[in-house]
Amino acid sequence: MDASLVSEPVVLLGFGAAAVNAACALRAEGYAGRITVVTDAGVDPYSPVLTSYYAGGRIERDACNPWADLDLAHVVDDVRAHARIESLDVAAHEVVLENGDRLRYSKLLVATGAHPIAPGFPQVEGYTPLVLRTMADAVRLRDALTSERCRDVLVSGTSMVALKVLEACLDRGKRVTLLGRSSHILRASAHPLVAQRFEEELVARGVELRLRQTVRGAEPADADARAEGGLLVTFGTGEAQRFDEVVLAQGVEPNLDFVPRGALDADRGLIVDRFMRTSAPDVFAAGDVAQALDLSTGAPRVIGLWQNAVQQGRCAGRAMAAELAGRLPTRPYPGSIPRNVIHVGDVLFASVGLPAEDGRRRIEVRESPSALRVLIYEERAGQDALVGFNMLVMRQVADRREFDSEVGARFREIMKSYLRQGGDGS
Amino acid sequence: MTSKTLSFDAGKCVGCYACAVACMDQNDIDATAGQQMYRQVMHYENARAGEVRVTHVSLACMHCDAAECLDACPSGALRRDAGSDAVVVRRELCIGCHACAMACPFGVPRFGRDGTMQKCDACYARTRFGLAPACVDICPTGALSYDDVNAAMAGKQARFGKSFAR
Ligand SMILES: Cc1cc2nc3c(=O)[nH]c(=O)nc-3n(C[C@H](O)[C@H](O)[C@H](O)COP(=O)(O)OP(=O)(O)OC[C@H]3O[C@@H](n4cnc5c(N)ncnc54)[C@H](O)[C@@H]3O)c2cc1C
Repeated sequence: MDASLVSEPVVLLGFGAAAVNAACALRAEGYAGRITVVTDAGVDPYSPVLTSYYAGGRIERDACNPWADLDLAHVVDDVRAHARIESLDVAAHEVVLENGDRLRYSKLLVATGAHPIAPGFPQVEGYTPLVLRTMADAVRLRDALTSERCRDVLVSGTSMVALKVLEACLDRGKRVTLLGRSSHILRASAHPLVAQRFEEELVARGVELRLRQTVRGAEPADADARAEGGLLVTFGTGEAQRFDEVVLAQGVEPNLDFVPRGALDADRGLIVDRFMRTSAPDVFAAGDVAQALDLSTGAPRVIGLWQNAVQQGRCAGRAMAAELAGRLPTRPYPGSIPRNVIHVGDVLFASVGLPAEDGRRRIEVRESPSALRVLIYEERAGQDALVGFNMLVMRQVADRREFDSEVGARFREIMKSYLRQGGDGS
Repeated sequence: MTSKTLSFDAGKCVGCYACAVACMDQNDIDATAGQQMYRQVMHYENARAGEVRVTHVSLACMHCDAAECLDACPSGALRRDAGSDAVVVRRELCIGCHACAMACPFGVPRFGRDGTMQKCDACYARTRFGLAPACVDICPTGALSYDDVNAAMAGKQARFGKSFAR
């Protein structure tokens, strides 16, 4: 590293799980220099996972900061809040902010997370559909859901976030329509058999499902009372339906618009090595912007999960501290696999690994009146190995107890299947 | 950081459930109302050379050093108690997302009827005043102990050494 850079601060772009854990790891490893955080949100960090609980009224704003106990002011020297990052100059080791400020860095962590995308939803003059990622999004959604005029909500998308939004709407007593292009909900994580059963449970709870459908058009329902009248949405089937609010939850993309094309190796996120180093010297990436090792395929992939952001941030923090102290980093990021638990009311769903079938896989279905399990096996290293797992539990308390011990055990079993193969899923 | 640790010696456990009962009493657990037990006692039979041996095991949260549940919890409900080093849950912050259940290698997290996670907190309310955890206090055989880390390690080493004597 250029000697003039050594006295520059470590700059963390973003103030979410990845950045907070990087900051804590830098300090735990003995880094005593300056740490500067840049965030386009406020000084008080929050967890995106909690936003739907806030919007649905289960928790208050104070509870959205999972680090409230931690004295972050003693960890981080300087928080540039409400500051948007304009561009990054990796050659000059500089970050340029929207207000023109330039920040030089000794080490940089890109941990700016992701933002919702809304491909294909028509623009409606005077109405901005709701989304859910940031605290500001959550405040808007909460306001909308607590408004008396809001009774019918269209949730566009069938992802994990869409289901979390759906739960928030149900908590607020709204009528919800869930719209998706695909044949089933949770296309990436649920086997069709499990997805179908989940869908039946949603319908039983009053949710209207519009699967294999698209939106053809949307317009204000009442030209005279635009703000009050809601939207008239026309579906691909030709049917039209009125909604008071529309929430788009169709997927996310990493926040990387400030990275000049070609400055860092990127695919769907920034490509990183096992110490979260990007292709540019002294630039690291972690969390929802980073394409790190996915053990289930052996290839780098963005797996946008809280625990991954925590562990990648910590790994990056340790590696930055080691390099700044003239040492080689030692504890690499071990990789992870896709996994999730979702609850909507009293229905619990878990997925681990890859629940998709293909010719090489054997599927086992275990069904009881209150639980459905799908186990997916594949021959790996000469053995029949569990590579995917879904479990859906309805109501009965006994099965919910099994759920808690079983999901952890299946997660570990599937991790072992992939690790046995050396992380190479091919 | 505490210098004491909770250990279990299966060689001394007779499976009497005193630990589980003391734990229920200490934590006001009403199992009949659907509350989860924090400490579980298990019994395993192992037939070898015509002889059946029964092993009793008393298990609760391990309060791991690198606790996966702490990394998985997105709400700050799980934290490490600075005084005792125990991993404790603040149920008022738990959103019932079950991420800890997925992460825990020992199947410890359980959820109550209110949807929040419940587990052993190593009786940090007792240990901070110099008392042993309730399960240790009651254990009639010394299978559960709460000792200085080095003393616990010395005991473990002695048991390992003894295993060579046939
Ligand atoms: C509703 C919802 C529910 C979820 N539920 C779960 C769940 O149950 N389990 C799970 O594992 N994961 C869940 N996730 C995903 C999880 O929240 C993320 O994987 C994780 O929070 C990523 O952390 P991060 O630090 O990478 O990003 P973030 O927490 O998004 O932090 C990004 C930071 O960058 C800042 N930033 C972004 N762009 C700029 C810019 N241009 N200039 C300045 N600052 C910028 C932001 O203000 C923020 O501080 C959920 C996400 C959502 C939205």
